Amino acid sequence: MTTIWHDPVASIKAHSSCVRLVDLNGDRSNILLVADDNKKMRVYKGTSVVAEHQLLDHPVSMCVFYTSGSSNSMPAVGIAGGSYVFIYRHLRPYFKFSLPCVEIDPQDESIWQEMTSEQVNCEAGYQMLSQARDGGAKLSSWSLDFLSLEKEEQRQAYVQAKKGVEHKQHTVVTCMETMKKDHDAEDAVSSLVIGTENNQVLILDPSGSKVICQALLPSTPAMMAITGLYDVEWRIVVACRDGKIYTIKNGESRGNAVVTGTVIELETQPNTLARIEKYIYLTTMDGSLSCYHIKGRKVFSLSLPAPATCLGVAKISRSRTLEALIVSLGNGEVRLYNGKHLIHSLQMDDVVVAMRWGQFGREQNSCAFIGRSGSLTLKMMSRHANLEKGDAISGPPAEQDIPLKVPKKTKLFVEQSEREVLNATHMHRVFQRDLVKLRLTTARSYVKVITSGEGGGGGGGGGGGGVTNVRLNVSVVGLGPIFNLKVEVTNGGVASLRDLPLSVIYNTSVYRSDRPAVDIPLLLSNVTVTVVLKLKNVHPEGAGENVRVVLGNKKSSVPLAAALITMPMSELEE
Amino acid sequence: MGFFKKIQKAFGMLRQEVRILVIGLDNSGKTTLINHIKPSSSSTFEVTPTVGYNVEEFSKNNLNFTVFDMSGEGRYRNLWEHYYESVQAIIYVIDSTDSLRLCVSSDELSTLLSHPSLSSRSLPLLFFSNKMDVPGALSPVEVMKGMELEEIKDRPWHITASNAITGAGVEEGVAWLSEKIIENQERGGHK
Repeated sequence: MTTIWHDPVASIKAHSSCVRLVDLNGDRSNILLVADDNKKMRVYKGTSVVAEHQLLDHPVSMCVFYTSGSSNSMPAVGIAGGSYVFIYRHLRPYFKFSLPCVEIDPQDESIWQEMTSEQVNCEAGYQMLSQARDGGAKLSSWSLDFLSLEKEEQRQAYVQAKKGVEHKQHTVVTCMETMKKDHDAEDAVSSLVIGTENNQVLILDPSGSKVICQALLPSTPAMMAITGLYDVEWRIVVACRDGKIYTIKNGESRGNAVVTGTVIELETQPNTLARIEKYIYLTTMDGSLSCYHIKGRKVFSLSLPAPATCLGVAKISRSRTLEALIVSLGNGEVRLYNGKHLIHSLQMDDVVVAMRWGQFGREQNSCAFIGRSGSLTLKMMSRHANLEKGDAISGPPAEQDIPLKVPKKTKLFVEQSEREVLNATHMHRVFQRDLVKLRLTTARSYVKVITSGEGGGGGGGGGGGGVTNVRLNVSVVGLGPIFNLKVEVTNGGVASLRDLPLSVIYNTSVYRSDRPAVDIPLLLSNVTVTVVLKLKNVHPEGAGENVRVVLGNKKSSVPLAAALITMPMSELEE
Repeated sequence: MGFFKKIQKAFGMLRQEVRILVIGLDNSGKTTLINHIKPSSSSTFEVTPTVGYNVEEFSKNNLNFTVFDMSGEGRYRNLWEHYYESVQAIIYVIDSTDSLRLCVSSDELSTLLSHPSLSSRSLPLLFFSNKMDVPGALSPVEVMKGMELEEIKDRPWHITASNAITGAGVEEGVAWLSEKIIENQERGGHK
């Protein structure tokens, strides 16, 4: 994919559902519409911002939908923010849809009625509300605000302020998508589908003025993926905040929705959701990409090199349309998957936090990326891009079909194999006998080496000198219970020795030492090194026992030199 | 060439057959441009996006033109290469207002130049930097830089700013092309 335009300082803060590529003017030239989190809507045409509008609230999601079916109709833009959906036409505010109010708990309602009509004083109301809260009632936002006030005067002022105000409980939009009405085309009439904080999914009519269908879920919807047509058959896959994926589909009669029994329970929270045909793709917080069949069966799961930041469907229009999955990762990589095969990977300068695949300008197969630093990048896919690369990997490797080079059978080889067939038993016996003989010889020479003490010299790093000649001279100083073992090490050989561990071996029930081993880094030829090792007698009667001092060698298990010391009786500790 | 034909040609009686391929991205103005190359009698006015391709035949500058007007839409672009073999010249139309897709156009051009049936022949290439009247249009020099036309060294090429709606610049380009085609054919005739 080639970058056609990169604006590192676009300062856009948005997520994927607020970025859309849309034909807003009906001239088959798509523009990029971004609902920025800084309450701005920007319109990019080509490489320039052609319009910027102030929004009334922080956008949650932005959708583009067609309200009428005539061929050259202009789409409306719905921007969800707070508990409203603001609908724009020709980039001008046109209509505001407010979410229906939530029913308030009757207990809550009655307490407020009594408080505002001063049948109950503020303090008693406070007590009743906190009791209701402890009793598990779902309180309204008024009550929650009221209960959070600490001072008596503040509470009274709050009740005063609510006098004469209708007690309403609003909910907020958590996600929004669109659903086509009766046919599947780019500019077909479509409705807004809204997920709300109070676990509802609402489908509006195409004009966006009233709710025509609703469903209640066990948890708050966070992401939705929609298939089908409202008038025919539809299915909404909803990822909820409880980490489960629910499916809502049309019921028997029109305007009726059913939450199906298919619930996909995920091990970790999902952070993105997409759907291609009959498969649901999602990435989870543990950095994996999973695919489920719409009926709930898991198809595959891939582990990604970094957690995914966003996921989208890339509809690659060519002579045949391919729906690929585009995933952006936390390490700035963007990957394109066809099913489970990786078909393309590209490294971006910035971590992509939002992206949208579609037509930009007049070029299909474009993609807008928004980076974490607010950068905006537009890429277009070359017509010649190879998307079949991934498929080759799935089959058997090409090497399988290349025949091995088998050498020709010579006369000698044939004779030899004939002889082997005839005298198999005899040959085997001879071989076994020789093998045993070899092992015996090896074992004998090994024993010889051990007994003669040559081993140390052989592996001792003595270098040119061959056999090393290291002398240990140990003297015991002290009366006890602490003894100093004065060890004098002399290298009598020609070559110097390196890295020699010197250790004292003793019976731990009699002696104790803080430092039973010392490394001698370098032992020059004919130089005496003196090392003092401390031993403490811990025997209750101060009995002496033999102690060994061993000068080891890092390269061999056979020590270079060893000394046996007879320790004297120890004075008892007072 | 027979003696009789030579005489005919000298008197401009036997016209040479020339096949031209017109390509470029969608919405660059290929069909509108061809309407202006055609003698005015056969011009049509309503222009809609071409589906597949159109073939136009007319005579001009003492040449019989057969023009293949290819659709520039992404899904039809793979048709272009089937005509490379049989044509004597290529007209490549660029929308000079679409600076965004200049790289797409450039990508298509490099695919064209590296195509085996074109890389061995030195066909003349005529570029029209179309829509020059629109404010904000790139100049032919800018288009040339964007498309890396300087890199083409093995074949004659020419770039002209044009306005396919009024026909400005079209004649100049076609005159250059006719000249090159005649030159090419005479060279071919000597061989």
